[in-house]
Amino acid sequence: MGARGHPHFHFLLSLGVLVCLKVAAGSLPLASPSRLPLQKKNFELGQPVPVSPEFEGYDNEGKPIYWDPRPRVVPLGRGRYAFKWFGRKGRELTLIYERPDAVDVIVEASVATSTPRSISYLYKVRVMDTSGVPLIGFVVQTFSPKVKPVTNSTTFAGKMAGFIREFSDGNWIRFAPFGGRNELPPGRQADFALVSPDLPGLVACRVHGGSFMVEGVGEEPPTALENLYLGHDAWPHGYTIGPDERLAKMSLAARLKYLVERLPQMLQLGWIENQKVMQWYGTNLKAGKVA
Amino acid sequence: MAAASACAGDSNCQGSSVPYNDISLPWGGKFDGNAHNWTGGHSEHKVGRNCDVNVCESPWNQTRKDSLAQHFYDTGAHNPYLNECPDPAKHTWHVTW
Repeated sequence: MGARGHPHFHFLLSLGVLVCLKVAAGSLPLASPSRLPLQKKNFELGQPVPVSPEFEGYDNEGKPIYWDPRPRVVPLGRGRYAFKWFGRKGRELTLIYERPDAVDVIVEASVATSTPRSISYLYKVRVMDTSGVPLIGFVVQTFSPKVKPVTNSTTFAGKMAGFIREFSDGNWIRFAPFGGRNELPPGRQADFALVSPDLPGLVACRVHGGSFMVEGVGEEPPTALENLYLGHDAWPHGYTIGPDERLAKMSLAARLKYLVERLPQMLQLGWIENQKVMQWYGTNLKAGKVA
Repeated sequence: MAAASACAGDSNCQGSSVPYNDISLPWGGKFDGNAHNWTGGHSEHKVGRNCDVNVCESPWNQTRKDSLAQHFYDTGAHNPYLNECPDPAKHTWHVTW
């Protein structure tokens, strides 16, 4: 089988190293690669650490007022929790909290070149049936200042703030379902796209799920419960392809090295079928069998 | 502030303003400059990570509101929640970063 007939040829192109293997290697056992869902750290969400009595404010005489909310958490399953506390009028209140990582997602990316200076990146983001909550955002890392997300009446795109540690490296673009509930339920897929003149490289991505807006109960929850909100480090994490301006500055040898160094990671991610296929790539790339 | 700034550059957000209130200073206390007259229920608003957005008092349509909420996520907010006001017809968003 020639390189152009080999499905991995497209895979290499999609990585954007813009090389193709020469017709040199023998045929390989071809099974369909199996993409991994984005990975989770599974942080524990336990009981609140009391900040009790909580400071409420001051009375008219300037004396501090304290309040004991007696907060507690009741797991409801599938990433949902009942946050319970006693409100300022003594009534027990319940807020439903949904973990941002209770969403199971597979991301499939592809690139297409319309002109030499315009590369389209398409991300198919599928919310698996196993998800306990809907998707409310997909964030993709880029290493390019020249990124133009494609938006329409059903797609929002914004830039993640760089002061958030998890999004401080590169230029992260956040896509989200827009309109209606602003959520993508389990079993559904959304297509997000961006355009950039920069070549595709290996980049990270994250997703987050839950209710876009949580139904309130007339009072805000106490500090002890809001302290339980999971941070951005809990958002499911994975890898995909995205524009990387550094690639254009590399020599061909450096690009090949970039690719060879990432082959084990691609194997681990399920983008390459097996060890044998990875070795095939490694051998041919190291030998400079490119056209 | 970052979300409001991001939203200002979004064509969906442009138009009339939305009131923000009950933001605290990071070291505690409201911006009201009268720390000894704090009788509201905003106990969370003392650590500089919360604010209320009075969207229902604004003439913004749903698209604008959704855009603003999306920008909150872009700046690191957790899922905002609605209906903090006793009057259910006048929802606010309580946003926590």
